[in-house]
Amino acid sequence: MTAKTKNSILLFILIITKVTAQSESLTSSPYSLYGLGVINQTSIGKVNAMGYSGIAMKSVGYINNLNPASYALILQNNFLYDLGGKAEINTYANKFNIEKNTSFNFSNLAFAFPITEKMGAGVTLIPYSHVGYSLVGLETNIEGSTETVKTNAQGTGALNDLSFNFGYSPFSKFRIGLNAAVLFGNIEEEESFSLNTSSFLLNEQTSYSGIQLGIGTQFDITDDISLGGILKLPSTLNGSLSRSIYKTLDYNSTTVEENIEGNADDFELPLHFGVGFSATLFDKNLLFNADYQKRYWGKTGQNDHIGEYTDQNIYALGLEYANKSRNTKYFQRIAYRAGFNFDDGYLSVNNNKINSYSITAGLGLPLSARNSSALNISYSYGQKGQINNILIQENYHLITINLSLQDFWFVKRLVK
Amino acid sequence: MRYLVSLVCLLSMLVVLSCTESSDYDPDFNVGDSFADSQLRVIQIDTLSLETSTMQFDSLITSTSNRILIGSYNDPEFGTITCASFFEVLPENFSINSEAVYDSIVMYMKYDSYYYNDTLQLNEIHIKKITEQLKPKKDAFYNTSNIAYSNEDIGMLAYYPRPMEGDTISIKMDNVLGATIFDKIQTKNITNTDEFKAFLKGITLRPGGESGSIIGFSTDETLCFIRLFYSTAGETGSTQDYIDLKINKGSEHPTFFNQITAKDANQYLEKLTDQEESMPSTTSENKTFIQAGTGITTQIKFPTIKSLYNIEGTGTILEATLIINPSIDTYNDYLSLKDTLNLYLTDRNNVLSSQLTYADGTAVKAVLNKNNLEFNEIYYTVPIGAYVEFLLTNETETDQAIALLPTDYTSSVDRMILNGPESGNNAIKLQLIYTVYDREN
Repeated sequence: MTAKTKNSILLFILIITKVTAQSESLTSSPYSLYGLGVINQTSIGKVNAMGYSGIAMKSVGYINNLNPASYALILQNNFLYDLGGKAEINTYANKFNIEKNTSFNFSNLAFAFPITEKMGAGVTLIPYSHVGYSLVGLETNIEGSTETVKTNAQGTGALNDLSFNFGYSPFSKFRIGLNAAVLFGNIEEEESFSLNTSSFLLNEQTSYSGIQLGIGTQFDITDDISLGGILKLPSTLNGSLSRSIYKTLDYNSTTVEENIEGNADDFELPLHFGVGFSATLFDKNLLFNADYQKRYWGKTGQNDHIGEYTDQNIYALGLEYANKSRNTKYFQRIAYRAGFNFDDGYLSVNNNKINSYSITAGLGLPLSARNSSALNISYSYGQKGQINNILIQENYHLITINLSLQDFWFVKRLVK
Repeated sequence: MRYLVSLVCLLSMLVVLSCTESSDYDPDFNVGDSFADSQLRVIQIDTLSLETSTMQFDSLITSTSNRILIGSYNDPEFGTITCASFFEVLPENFSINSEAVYDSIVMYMKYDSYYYNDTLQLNEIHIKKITEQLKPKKDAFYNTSNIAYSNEDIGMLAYYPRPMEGDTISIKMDNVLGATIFDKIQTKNITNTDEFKAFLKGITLRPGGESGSIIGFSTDETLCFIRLFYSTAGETGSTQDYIDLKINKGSEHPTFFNQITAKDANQYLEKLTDQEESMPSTTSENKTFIQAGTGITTQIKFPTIKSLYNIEGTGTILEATLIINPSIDTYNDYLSLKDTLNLYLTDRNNVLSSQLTYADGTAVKAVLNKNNLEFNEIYYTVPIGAYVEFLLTNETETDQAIALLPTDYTSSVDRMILNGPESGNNAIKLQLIYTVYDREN
């Protein structure tokens, strides 16, 4: 291992610690009350602009994190980085009021490198989920009376996904990949209320950790048409709880419990599979992706608050136009992307599935004429939930920026 | 070089990332009631059983009071209540001009605004001489103490009390006594307090009839004194002068106390002869009694408080309010209810151990709620959450009880009758609010 590789890895570790420390509580959605929070949809590189599609997409010169098999395509002497951030403006509304919130977030950190001509590997760090909610006025009946008490609930936290990916191409046109995701993070939730002369506050900090294993394949039917598939095995995230309880009794603040270790329910991640189709048209100038993914949440038998987990279906479509001819004009080398994603949701509240859709668009701005380094910018508009019942409708504008870098290592320049 | 560029790029992104911030994080969103449910259970319980009883202290120390209590009235339940006061009076000096001539002797007392029962009745105050030394057998005098006195009045006043006016009453006293004191001082027969005490051991102020009211007077020595008036003849006429005999409450031992007695009380109160024997409300028509001055108190116990632990899950108590209903038709404008009651703890022998206070040291008080007077909804409420929590967490069974006593219970005679736990809607009850934060035990 050269000094440079060492440096890069050191830098990567440094960034991981920085980013995981910082990525907490920077999101906001009432829906993050449920489960592990709002599950992150954004991925790495160009797929954010393409409706989050690309299971079958052949990636050369950039990282495609949707399928570990694609890591086998990394070219010799290439070293790929991807660093992303996102900004989100959420508007959520129910029948009674409307709120707006803006959040900024780290969205990914990744690097990938070839091992042999037929093997590649990479490490990615992306948020798995975010929790950020503050709800007031949850009405609870006082049992044994006709009165109610209004409680306030708050949650912050995040889970991170540190993935190790490995891709191998045993024979041409066929690639297989392995993925091991280490999921870890903390969620802090608080619930409080006041009565005439007393008040109560419950603070629960839950740490989750677990590993989810997955495999992926890609198969090229022709040079222009590929199929892909991924499978992630069910997994359990172990939760450990630290609970503190404070109250005022007879006008006096007291601690009922402080940092008491408790049993947190483990969280079950379901079996997840996905299939994809990818094709290039018009001299490879146009790229088309179509994905379908399913997560069998129903089998986990989990529920939370008044929500139940149900099987989730995700449909994604993406398009990219990039002029592949050797243009020297910068303007003509820009890639244009668009996509659509529909997610019918994993949560059912009072038999209403909370579905969401998003429309995406984006640009790939080349950073160099000699390699495929690019600044990928995407915008997506999405909607989640419905307003015509008790649920909350959430609209969001999401901007992601990915710095996708391709570096050539161990190559001596011919021209000095 | 190019690697360097990318490293710099990465670093700069890192810096940018580190500097990002969320907008003001204040998305308090009112979600209505069905978006999510609370994981907390909040439960109100007012069915925990209580035991109440009446108990009478053998005696109360009354020699530390700052109030002279005089009067007598007939109470339909508590009998004839009689208050008399005993104290020393001492001359402020022992010099009277040999030319001076005795004039008169008058006692002055100032109302301290305390009264009980109907003040429109004519009251009498009789002043009498004490005939034994005014010294307690132990350290203090009690409501039950007695000191011998001569039956002969050395002063008497019949009056209609006006306790709220802040007036001073004056009682003309016996001139034979006044002249004797005057002579003894003028002729240097009495030159110090010991010699004076040998002559006049003290006085007692006693009511006349039994159908008046109980009135409080201040024991401040500038407000309660006997004034001996005399005059001295001069060239331009005579000049008036006086000597005051001021109330003396004692320094080495008390030389003041109020005697508070009741006779012919109802059948239940008559049974209260032993402090260690509490009388359960179940044996007294489901009622309990309180009377200041005579030391009658209502005790409350919570024998089944630990049944709270039968509620599934782990929880904690948030409020505990004791609701105490005075028995209807046992009080009126004259036999009024005290606005606040203090709470004390009694031990297994019914000895008063401590007063209940909040964490900051202020007294826990039962406060009279008079919001719905026309519906007879008059009741005391008192938050006793901390005490209930103590009972819940106390591992050994306690013989403690809460005892209710009016403020100033050693220098007043306020009384009341309370409903016990079997009085339907007006029963005494404990209202608890309990929250379960962990559904597992």
